[in-house]
Amino acid sequence: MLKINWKTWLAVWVAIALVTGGLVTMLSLQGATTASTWAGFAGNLLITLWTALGLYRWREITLVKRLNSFVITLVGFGLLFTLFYASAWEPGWRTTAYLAIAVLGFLAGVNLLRLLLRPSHPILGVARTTIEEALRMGIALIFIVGLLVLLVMMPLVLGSEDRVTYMVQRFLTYSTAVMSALLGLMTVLLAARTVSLELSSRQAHMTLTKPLARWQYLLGKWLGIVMLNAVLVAVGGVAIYGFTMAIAMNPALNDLDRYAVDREVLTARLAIRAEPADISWGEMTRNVLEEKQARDPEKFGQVGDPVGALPLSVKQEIIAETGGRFYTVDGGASKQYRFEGLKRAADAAARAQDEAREMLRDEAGLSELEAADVVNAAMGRKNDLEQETLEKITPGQVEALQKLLEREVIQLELSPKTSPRPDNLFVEITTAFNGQPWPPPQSAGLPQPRRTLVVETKNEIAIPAGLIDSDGTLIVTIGVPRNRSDGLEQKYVAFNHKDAEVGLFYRVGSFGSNLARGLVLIWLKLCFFAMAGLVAGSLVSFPVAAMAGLIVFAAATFSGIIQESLDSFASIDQSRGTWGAITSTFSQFFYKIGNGEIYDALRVIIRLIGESFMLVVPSFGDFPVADPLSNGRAIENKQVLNAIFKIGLLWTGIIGLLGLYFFSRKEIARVTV
Amino acid sequence: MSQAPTQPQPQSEPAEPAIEDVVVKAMGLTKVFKDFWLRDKVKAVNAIDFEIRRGEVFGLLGPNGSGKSTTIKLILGLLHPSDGKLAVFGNLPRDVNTKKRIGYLPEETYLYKFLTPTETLDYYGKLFHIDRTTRNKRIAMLLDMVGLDHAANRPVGEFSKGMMRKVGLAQALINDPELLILDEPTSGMDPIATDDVKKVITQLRDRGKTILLCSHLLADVQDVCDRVAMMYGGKIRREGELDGLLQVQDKTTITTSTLANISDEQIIAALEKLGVTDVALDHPRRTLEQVFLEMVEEAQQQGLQTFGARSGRDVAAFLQGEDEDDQAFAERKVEKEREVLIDSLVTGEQAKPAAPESTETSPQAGQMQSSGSTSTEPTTAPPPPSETDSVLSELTGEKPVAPEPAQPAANDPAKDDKKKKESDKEADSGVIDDLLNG
Repeated sequence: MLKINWKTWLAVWVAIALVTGGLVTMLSLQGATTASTWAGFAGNLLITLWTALGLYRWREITLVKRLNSFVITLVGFGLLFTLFYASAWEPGWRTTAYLAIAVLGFLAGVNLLRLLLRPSHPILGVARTTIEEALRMGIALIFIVGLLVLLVMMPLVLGSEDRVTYMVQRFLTYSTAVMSALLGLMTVLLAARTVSLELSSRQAHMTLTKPLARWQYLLGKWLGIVMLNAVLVAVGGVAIYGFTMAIAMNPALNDLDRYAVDREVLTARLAIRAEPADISWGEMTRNVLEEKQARDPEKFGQVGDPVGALPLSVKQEIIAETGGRFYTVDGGASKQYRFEGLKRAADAAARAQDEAREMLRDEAGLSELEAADVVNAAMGRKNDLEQETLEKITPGQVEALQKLLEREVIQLELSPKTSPRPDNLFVEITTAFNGQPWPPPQSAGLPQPRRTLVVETKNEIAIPAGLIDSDGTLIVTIGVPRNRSDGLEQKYVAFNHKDAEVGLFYRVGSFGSNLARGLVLIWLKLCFFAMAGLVAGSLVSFPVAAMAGLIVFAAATFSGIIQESLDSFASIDQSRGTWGAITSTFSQFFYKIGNGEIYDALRVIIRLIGESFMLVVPSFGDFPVADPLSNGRAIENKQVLNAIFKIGLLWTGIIGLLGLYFFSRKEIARVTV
Repeated sequence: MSQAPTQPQPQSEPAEPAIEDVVVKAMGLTKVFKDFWLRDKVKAVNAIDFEIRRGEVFGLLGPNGSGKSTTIKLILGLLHPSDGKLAVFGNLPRDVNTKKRIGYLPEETYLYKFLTPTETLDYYGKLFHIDRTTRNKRIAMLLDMVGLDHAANRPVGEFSKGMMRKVGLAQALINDPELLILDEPTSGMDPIATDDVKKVITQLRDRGKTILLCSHLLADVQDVCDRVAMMYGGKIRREGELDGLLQVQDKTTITTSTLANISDEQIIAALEKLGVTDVALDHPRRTLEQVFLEMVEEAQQQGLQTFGARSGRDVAAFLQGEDEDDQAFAERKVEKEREVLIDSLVTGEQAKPAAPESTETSPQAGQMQSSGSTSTEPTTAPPPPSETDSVLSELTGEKPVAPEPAQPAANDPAKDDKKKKESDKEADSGVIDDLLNG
């Protein structure tokens, strides 16, 4: 057999690289794209094999090792580009490509971490060792592989959906949930393991007899886990983004489907609640109250009685009634809803209209006045246009104009319900925005076209942002015709099905930036889990610490659901603050014991224990990620800042300081006599 | 057959050492372990007083469970005293600044199995705020010293116990500690490595460092300690200078090479002629350790490869108080490799015993002679002298302690001892010749 040393290996490697590079350049210069692609592919394959040989035989040599990590990255990108050129952007290839980017990103990220942790500081030293532990003990690896496999498999699993919108939404929901869960579990277990095992198998005896304060030790461990998490979250984010985009590229069922994917899911929108247009909430409530008092003074008190004296349940009834009336439109009537704070959308629309006018002036040769007329006509603010003007515009320009004016849209979300009859599956309504009927009648004199809404479903209506007042106000008028087009009577339509309210959405950012903010939220939650696991691990043995960490993980993740079930488990009067709740709980307890309702009394106590537990667990339900992402709702910057403060500083800090207090008093060594 | 104390007494004991000369001081130190109900369960350390002075090798001895390890853990701040006072460098043991000056080798080596020796030492170096340049330099020297330079990039998890122990020793020295605490330092090490450890201890002591040694292997303790404290049941039962504890009066041992043509009776007669009565004659056996050392030396001279640790290296220059720069270190390594190569080419001659060029004796040897006893240990084939010493002495600026063989694996103190014994033997032979002829 031919005997070669690592220098020969290196020389051959360089030779292959040069020949491949030369060949690819030469062929592509001659225009032989396919041949050049294949040459690149073959060269990459050869170099991969040669690299593998080098890794197998001379991996001990640092230079070979370094070169190889570089080469693997390079070859990865080479293959990536080969794939891009060969695949004509098919979703399948794109998924692979994003996967490759994710893997390479992981390698690059880990190396970046090592670089960041190079300076000679004890905290960085501890952090670095923790990262190496996670990587080399395979703890992180199993989760990374699991995450990637699940992400890769998910689009295949979701393939059966016919609507792209649902596919994208389901993928976003599941992938963010899977990523949060997997990384959360990894973080809790890794954090609980690293400290508790170092204490029990005594590596801590060596580390903590070095000039390293206990807080530095804990902080270093936390930093290591948190930094590794940052890389993993970023890598997962890249994969999720890539796969989402690939899934969204699938052919849509129809235009509505395409619109929904682009404008309702892959976007970042803010929601505003409707306010009464001409009357305040307080006035509306008083009207309802007075009406009720006139009808049933025994229950609601005499007209003019103070509201504060009424029992809670009665107050809640009045509030519900007021809301119900506000969202209900009777057949043959209409109601106005007011939205404020849309200045940003209005400004953006004004800019789009400016651009449209400019386009008409420059490209169609229209005068300033004519261009303004055309834009106004397109916005439904003007009905008749001069024939002369119309002739100047080409169909292509009309399309461009429409595109510009539709660039900024806001969406009205309506979830209607109506009298329960089997054939009432949809309702018909008319809409007007700031007094302007929209969609406008086909021509003057004709009735306004109606909209059809599916009942008990979220229907989204697109409104051109150009209809908003310049001060950012939009008054939406919803009219319910007495009869549907098929003659069926519409008694009333209520727009408060389940939790839905009459809401307006406007775009404030892109899907990418929204995803990025969502990932920051996920990472912040992991920061807390890391600290919780570390603290548990520093105080008790691994199994106990892991168990405690997992309980906190579960409680924090499902805090919303747990709180709900606690509420329904036993009632506590929370109207008098925490102390009031506690004292009333005890009085309830003794009252029930006195009545012989032992089981009910126990429930009250269990509820109290549950409440106290939830008090020490941060409620991550306040910072949802999957839901806003899959519904195209914006995760706002202030929400992220809030999370940084609450989760990152407050909760993590409190649990960290508490743990440090006990850990710094703990004796590291054990009794050995 | 009596054994001579091999350690000199550094200086006459000061009656009351100055405060700054006391590195560790314990007064009424007590550690009580409580059970679950907070009742006293075990008094592991019971109101002990002791002090460890700067520049001494202090041995802490005692049977299992006598409180030695607990005392060490108290000194390290891993346990907190239940009662009494304990100061390390005049500070609380848990003070971060105290820990900067301490090197610690635990009774078992608890290393991160996923790190390589280089990474392990780098990690501990970082904990000491040692800057990267110094760190890298020291790591290379320490790995060379403990003979793990060839395994520097293998995960520690693959190592044998003795190899792990060597990594442990190296990490304890990374900060060039003022106080070195060694808990059973030689457990799991082969005799050559054990000698290496003793050599490190001696060198550090010579530089004024303080060493606290805790061991069951009394022979090791006896070889290096200046002062010992013996514990039993959590109390110190004996404490004092090793020389004082060990010296046996009124006995002399004479060692010589085999006198083939002189019978035992002739020797006895010769001695009786000089008025020496009550003479016992014995033919010493070699110890297993010596046979072992010989075997390793032979194998190394034949250039046999080992994946395990290599023993018998020089003590790292920074521990000798020398500021050796990278280049000098690299040059020395190259020089050594060159010598190994030459050696392997001329193994035939090398294997034969050669007379030492120098009869200059080590401090130990000098001490031995001045203490009036001579070793009865038999001699083995002495290794050849080497030029390494001149390289070393150039680097350290010191005169070589004893002529060292060319083999890097052969310049350990065992060899020094052997050479020294060789010279002792020659001197002794001279005396006997005189006696016989006289």
